[in-house]
Amino acid sequence: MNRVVITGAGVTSPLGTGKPQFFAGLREARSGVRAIRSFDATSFPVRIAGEVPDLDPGKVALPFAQAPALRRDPKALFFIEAAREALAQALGGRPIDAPFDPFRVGMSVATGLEIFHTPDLLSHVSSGRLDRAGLLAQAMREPAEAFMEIPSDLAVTCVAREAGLRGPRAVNVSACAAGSQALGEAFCLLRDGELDAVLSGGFDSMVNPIGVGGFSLLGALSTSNHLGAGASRPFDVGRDGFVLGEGAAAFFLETASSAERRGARMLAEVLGYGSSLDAFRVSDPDEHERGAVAAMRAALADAGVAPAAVDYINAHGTGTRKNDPAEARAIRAVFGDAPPPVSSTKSQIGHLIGAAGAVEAMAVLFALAEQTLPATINLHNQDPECALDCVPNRPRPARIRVALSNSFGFGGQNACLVLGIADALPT
Amino acid sequence: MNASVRIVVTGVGLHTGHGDTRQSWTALHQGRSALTYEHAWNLHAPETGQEVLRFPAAVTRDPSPVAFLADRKSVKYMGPCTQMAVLAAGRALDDAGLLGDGAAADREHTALFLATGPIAFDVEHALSSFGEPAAADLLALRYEGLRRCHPLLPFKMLLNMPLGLVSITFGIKGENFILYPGADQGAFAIAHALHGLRRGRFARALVGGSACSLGLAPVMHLRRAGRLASTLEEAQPFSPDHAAWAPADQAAFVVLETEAEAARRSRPAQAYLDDAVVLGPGSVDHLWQTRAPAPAPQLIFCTGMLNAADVKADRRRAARWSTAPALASADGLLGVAPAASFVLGAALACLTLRDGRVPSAITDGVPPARIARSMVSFRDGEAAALAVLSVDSAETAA
Repeated sequence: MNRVVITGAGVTSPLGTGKPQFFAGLREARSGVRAIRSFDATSFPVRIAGEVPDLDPGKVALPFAQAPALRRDPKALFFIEAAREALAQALGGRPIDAPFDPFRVGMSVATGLEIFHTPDLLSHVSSGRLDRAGLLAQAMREPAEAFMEIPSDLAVTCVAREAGLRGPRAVNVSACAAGSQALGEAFCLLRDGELDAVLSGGFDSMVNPIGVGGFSLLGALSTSNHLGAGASRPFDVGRDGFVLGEGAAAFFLETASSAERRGARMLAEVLGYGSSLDAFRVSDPDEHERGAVAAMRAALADAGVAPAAVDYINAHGTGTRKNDPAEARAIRAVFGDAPPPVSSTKSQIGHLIGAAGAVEAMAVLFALAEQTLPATINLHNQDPECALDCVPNRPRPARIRVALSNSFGFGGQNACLVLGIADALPT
Repeated sequence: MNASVRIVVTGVGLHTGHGDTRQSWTALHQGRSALTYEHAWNLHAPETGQEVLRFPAAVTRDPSPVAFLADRKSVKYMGPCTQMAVLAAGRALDDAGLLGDGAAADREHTALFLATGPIAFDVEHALSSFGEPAAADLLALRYEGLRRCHPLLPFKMLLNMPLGLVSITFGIKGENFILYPGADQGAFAIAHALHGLRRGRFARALVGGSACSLGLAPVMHLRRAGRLASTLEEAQPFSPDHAAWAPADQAAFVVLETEAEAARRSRPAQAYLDDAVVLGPGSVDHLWQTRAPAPAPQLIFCTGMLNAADVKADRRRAARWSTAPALASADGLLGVAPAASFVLGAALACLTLRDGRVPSAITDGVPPARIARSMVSFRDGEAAALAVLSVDSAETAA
């Protein structure tokens, strides 16, 4: 079996675009949460989110026929930018077919819902009814993909074409677990020798009326609008739900032997992956955390890592009333009474849904690169039901060789990744 | 990958415009079409009543999965795509002997891989959940907040609900993902299951595709992309007039296991899955050059062929073998539901191998007398995929 390493990484997040901005945000324990600017949310019960602050859609170069549609879908732009950063770092500007057979370079990428451009739809509403014929007629006049809906996989298609990646593509829509699953499946493809390299990651934005409205209906979102940057409070006694975030992360994964042969810098090693299903209830996680425990144990077993060897856990840590104590119990079930430090970077960037696992893997990359535990900010009164070392409010220097990243999805999908510094485990 | 570990299909489950697996298979043998012009999506201009869009489509009947639900009320969480997924998954598990007395099988080590799309979250379905008049309520959501939205709307929005509810309904707890939105994603799911089983990552996999192509957004997308057939003739894969698809609501699932696991459960192999692979843009010729099976299949199930040129190209590729295989496609009788179509092709290939014969109504010319080896093929501008199934283990193992 092959060892799998990360040789390129890129990110677009509420802390900024690019690794330097993201890492600086984690180093400074900044929050990316603020009042929603991308649409008028004044009538919504939730009016805050972690929006990407510094990406001007008009300035993203889009040499694609679908450029008009891409510019209307922020998450697509987030991924295109992150993917370009990752590919540039991994390949140093060389084309993919210089070091690789492009048919053996695939993509495994997570995303979220299709975007429906509601103004397009609403322009065909009159007297309380939708004029479907008129809608279709206009659609036929517009360029393909430029009217009303923007396919979720469009950005993946564009990146594959731009970079010349001709291997298989998987577009994962496993909700909150999707980002970790996409990376995990990429890892499996490389470890098992099915491919030589994979561009992986995730991108999402639910910061739109349908997203904010839908999650508000579930009662999942924090309504602490008045707290602004302080509203995302995982593990705090005052937490009242998660804050939506948006962004993307991309990673270029390849086998260690390929990276060695190319002389590529190994940013980290993917050591193991585990996924599971709660198979419990559609609206609640397993009350005995069996699915989360199974996913963590599977990832550790896959990596051949004992729980005691894990130096840091990036928690799913949403900040909902039910999730945080459940995750704390699950961690204790796996790691015993002295689990490693645990932090939730959702406190800084919010919950990126389909991209969460990918951007949080980037936070783990930060931890490994800077030997620093990212903080759980806004943690002033820790819930005794979340009895963990949650790295409150400030990042902390630490020796970190192996880290676990948790993603537990609505609908009962769980995915965990084990990452390590490139020489964490003996060959 | 340990190719010496043989992977078998032990269960097939369908939900098509003809109904369940048996009904669908019988209808194909009888040459009956599920396509009709009688559906809710032919559009008329509001002012004149004049028809502005008319097309054939396959509409599903009785997609209610309550027969499989321990809690019948849970159907309220399910959109139509999820309902079809639960129905077809249940039928596949039943066919594999994994319901009833077989339900005790190790669910923790059963993987679940799904494909769905395009656009499982249909705009108009969502609108209908807002109450009447629907569009006015969308306005309310956009400009006035959430005052009248239905609280179950999110369950019908999220793309992973088909997977979540199949898992919950049947207690499946293993490795999993759900992919979106094209036929290549179903092919990826099958290939991933094959590799995972051979690697021993799990003992069994339920793999499926479920897609609702009949909805405002999918119809609009197909029409705009020039993929919506306006006549039945245009939707017939082996007609010289073939030019587009007839959209369908459809779901197809297969149960894959290692041969050893099937033997342990005393379940017969309906077919062996010998290979499955998918590649990206512009890869179809490379795929055929590098992975076309030897010896030759007797039959190629072509899925999602867009037009007569696609068929011609597949005929040319099939000529690589000294005895060219026959081509088959059910698209002209069942319609096309993109994310479900490759898994449906694999399921139909399996049924063909189980019976030893292919429905003559879906073949291009005279069907082969005996079919022991079959290939499933898909290609478009963005991806190409193939899977190889067989029943003659001695031949394929060699």
